[in-house]
Parts: sequence; structure tokens; C-alpha cells
Amino acid sequence: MNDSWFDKLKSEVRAFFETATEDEINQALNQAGYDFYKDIDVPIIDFHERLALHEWIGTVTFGASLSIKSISSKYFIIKKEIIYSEDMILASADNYGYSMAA
Amino acid sequence: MATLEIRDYQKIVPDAFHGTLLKNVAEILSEGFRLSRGPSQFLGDGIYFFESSEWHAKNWALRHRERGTDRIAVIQAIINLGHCFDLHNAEYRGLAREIKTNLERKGTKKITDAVVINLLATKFTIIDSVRATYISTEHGRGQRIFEGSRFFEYVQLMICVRKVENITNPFMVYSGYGS
Repeated sequence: MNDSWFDKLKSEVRAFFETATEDEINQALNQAGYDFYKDIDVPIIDFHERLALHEWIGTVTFGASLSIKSISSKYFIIKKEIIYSEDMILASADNYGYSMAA
Repeated sequence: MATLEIRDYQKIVPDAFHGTLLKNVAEILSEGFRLSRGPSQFLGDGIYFFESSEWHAKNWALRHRERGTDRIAVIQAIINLGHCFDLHNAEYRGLAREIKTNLERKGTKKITDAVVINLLATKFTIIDSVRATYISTEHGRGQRIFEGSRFFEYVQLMICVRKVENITNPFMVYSGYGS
């Protein structure tokens, strides 16, 4: 039954956090893709934001002169209200089929 | 009167819709869905569906296509939610909060929904799916459907399937340019 499944889950979670060391926490976070997902706090990147990112990555790719760090900075300037990590920018670039080698 | 017994872990969603590009459809239908990680996946790793809403799936695909000339598609499927971390349930939301609090106490910062759900699914018991309702408040979408209504305009009932075997009977219900 789902209830026993959930009760088991809850017990496991509580037992883990009662005794977990820093290393064990970090290992669990790594396994969960923490570095990738830590910045994903909006459900769906808005179309216009995507479009801006899309155009900008295109510019960078063809201009071939800017570092990944500056892509993040520039994107931050384009959309001040949302800050994306480099991992997210790279993942989006990958989705769009762009090479990030500049 | 006969009683139909359906256990929670057999709950079926008969009308789930997945938005994608038309160019991806043949591969999905022949080889199946693949568990993925992506920047728009706020419920963590999985394959995303909109429950009972072809419109939302179409809209999602339109907003995520690379060019205006790309044809989009919507795949309908039957989902067995299986062991579902359903955020409509207060206890489940409570556990998610508990994990966030525990991680913060241990010094972890920037804990998102996706981190919590992925942690649950990778460290603890198997989670076949995650189900949640999202009310968008961006760009004025948080409006009610009419003045005085208790209900909101832009509501998405989302399912993130982590166990691909629980997606059955997929077929394409729409392809085109979205107009």
C-alpha cells in the first residue's frame, strides 16, 4: 500500500538525517544532481527568456571570443530578475545544439 | 454492488500529455521515453506530462522550440503513477519541508524542489512518479478566471515520471505549428 511505502520513506529519511555525516550528506546530494538542480527554482523558463538565451548563445558561438563566465554575466544583464548558473546555461546550450567552445 | 479495488500504487492517469518537437516523436514511439535531466525540470529527473491538458503540452512545446518554423507534437499516454510522491498530499509536502530543513541545518544552501525530490528518489525508497499542481504567477498569469472566482487562470497539473516502464500506450495526438 502507498501508506506503508510512505511510512517507510519517512522513517528512512529521519534515520538518515539523525546520523548522517557531512560526507554522507554531500555524497547523497551529488547523487541527486545537486550542482545541476540547485538553481532550478522556476518551473519552466519563459519563452522570451529562452529566446534571449538562444540568441545570445548564438552570438557568442559565432563571435567565438567570450568565456563561459561572461556568458553568465551577460545573461544576468539581459534578465536581471533571474540568475542562471553556468550549468544551466550549458545545459540549455546543449539542448539547442550549440557548441560552447569559444 | 461489486466493489472495485484499486490500490494507491496502481493509480492510473489515462490522459497525460507530453509536449515535444515532431522530429523527436518517431524515436520516442519506437524506442520509448528516456529519463532526462534538464534546465526546465523543476521536479527533478524524469519525463514530464501535463495531466488532462493537451493545451498545456502544446503550449510547452511551442515555447521551447528552437525556431518558429519547427513543427511541434503532443504525445498522449497512460501513466501508472505507481509509488507516487504526490505533492497534493500534506504529509508528502511535510516530508519535503523536513528534508529542506535538515539539509539547511547541515549547512547546505540553495535547496530547490528538484534537489529534494531527486534526493528522495536516489537516496531512499524508489519513487516511480511525482505529481504536483503548479500555479504560474509570472507575467500576470496568477489572475483568477474571473472576478470573484476562487480559481486561477494558469494552473498546470504536472506528472514527472521517473520509471519509464510506467508510461504506456503512447501515441501522437497532435502535430503542427501550434496555430
